[in-house]
Amino acid sequence: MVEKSSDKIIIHAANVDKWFGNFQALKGVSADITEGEVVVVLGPSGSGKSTFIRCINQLEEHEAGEIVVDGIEINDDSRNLQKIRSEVGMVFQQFNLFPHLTVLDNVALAPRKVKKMPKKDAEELAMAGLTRVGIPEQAIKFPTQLSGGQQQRVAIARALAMQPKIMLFDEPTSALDPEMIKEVLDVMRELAESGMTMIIVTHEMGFAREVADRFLFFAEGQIVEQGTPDHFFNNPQEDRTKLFLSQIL
Amino acid sequence: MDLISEILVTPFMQRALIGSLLLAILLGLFGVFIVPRKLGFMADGVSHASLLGIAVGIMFGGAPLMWAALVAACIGLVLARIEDNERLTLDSVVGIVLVGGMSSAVILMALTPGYKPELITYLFGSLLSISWNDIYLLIAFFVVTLFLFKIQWRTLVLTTVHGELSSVLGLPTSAAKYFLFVGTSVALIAGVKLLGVILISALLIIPFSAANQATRSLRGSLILTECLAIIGTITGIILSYVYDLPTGPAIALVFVALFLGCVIIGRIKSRPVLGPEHNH
Ligand SMILES: Nc1ncnc2c1ncn2[C@@H]1O[C@H](COP(=O)(O)OP(=O)(O)O)[C@@H](O)[C@H]1O
Ligand SMILES: [Mg+2]
Repeated sequence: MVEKSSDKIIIHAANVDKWFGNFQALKGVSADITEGEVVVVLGPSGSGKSTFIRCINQLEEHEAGEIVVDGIEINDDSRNLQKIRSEVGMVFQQFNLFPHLTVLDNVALAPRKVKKMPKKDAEELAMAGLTRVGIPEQAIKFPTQLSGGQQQRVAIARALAMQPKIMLFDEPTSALDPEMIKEVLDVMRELAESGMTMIIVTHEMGFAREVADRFLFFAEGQIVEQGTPDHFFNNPQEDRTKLFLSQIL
Repeated sequence: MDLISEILVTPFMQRALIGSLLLAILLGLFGVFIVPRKLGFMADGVSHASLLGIAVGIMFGGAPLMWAALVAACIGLVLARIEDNERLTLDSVVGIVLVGGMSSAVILMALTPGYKPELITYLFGSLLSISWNDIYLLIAFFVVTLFLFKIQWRTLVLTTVHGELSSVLGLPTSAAKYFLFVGTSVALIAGVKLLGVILISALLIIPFSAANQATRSLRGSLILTECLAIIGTITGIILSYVYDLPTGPAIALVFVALFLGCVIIGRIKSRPVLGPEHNH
């Protein structure tokens, strides 16, 4: 694990509430995440993990509380939203590549369209990204010609192509066949070691233990317990945490 | 052969054919983006509510369709704004707009004295109602719209294939969205003399829905959509002329038949490319 170079808080969430109709998915969630920190979010299905990270890049709008990303407060100002989106990369569980674009075009797309980079520069950047995730030879193929693991690595390369400060991962290996999980986790591990700030929702506990600086445990829309991986493996406090860990380990 | 040459030398049929060709291309194209985004009902709401504009035109003078286009453009603008609002779902607002527009139109009509023969034209379309002026206006609208499509093409495709992903990547999506909503709304009104406000959404929704049953690729469904839109409209117009049927219903029924045909073909082939988006 890398030593943290700074204590700068890059994501500040305070008392965040999120409602879907009459259902409250987040109940006063607060968390401060420092630059370079790797946070793994755990919790049972439906506990609000996805909703929380989707609020950070405003795929969901929160109703109350405060979210500040790299000094930019999330509010109704669409310029702020645009800025945050270019600083926060996200990798979904699935359906994550444009099927009608080649792998290279998928990765080069955002630099070209958002950063207005010339085609050639964007493609060079994209190739560098594909090399970083270990699949430069797949550049001219279409997504459906790749394995699930390769597709997910392309999705990571694409997020990295915007040179984000923060990467969000929502169960990036849950839709993959077991033999492909490792190649994706390897790429993420390398990313963590490079000092990227990461929030990862995952059930891969071995991986989580290895890369995480901190676990956040969600239940019923709240952070019920948080601490280092060692704390969770050796000394969990809450009954709900213990129950969850006993089911997953 | 006789029939074809007869049709081709009849001026009102010339106008109807030229007009329908342009409309089929335009509305087919908008449909490629409207249907996968599940905005089909919006089209019905806009066209029905625009009857208010027609009523205003009939009552107070001025070209009814210009009023209707104004009403439609405003509704399109408002709906585009509302699309992402979590407190109002789009389809409930569309439902309210539809009911509000149509009811006030009918009441306005009831308050206007005299017989209104043109009303049925606006409701179900009529071949005879299309003038050369309409065609010139339509050509201008066609050119401008295709130009805007060219500018917004990539963003439209990306946001339609995967809207959430486009947002996450920070792609500028809102200009394309406003173009889509307002452009579709006005294009629907452009087709009112052909199909009428009640049925015009058929030309927007059915060609793509049918094409999407039978092809897998984006390009394939685009081409097939346009082919079906053109074939369906022209066949409907000819049937309406030959058997003296109301134009709008004749075209609409041809489209329903084409759709069923494509469903059958599609059963033999495989799944659509531009399906509704799945998330988590
Ligand atoms: N778009 C939505 N509309 C309504 N309810 C939702 C929506 N998204 C999530 N929820 C609900 O919010 C709760 C939390 O969901 P989520 O954050 O996806 O959970 P997790 O990722 O922990 O499994 C769940 O009960 C889910 O059903
Ligand atoms: Mg989830």
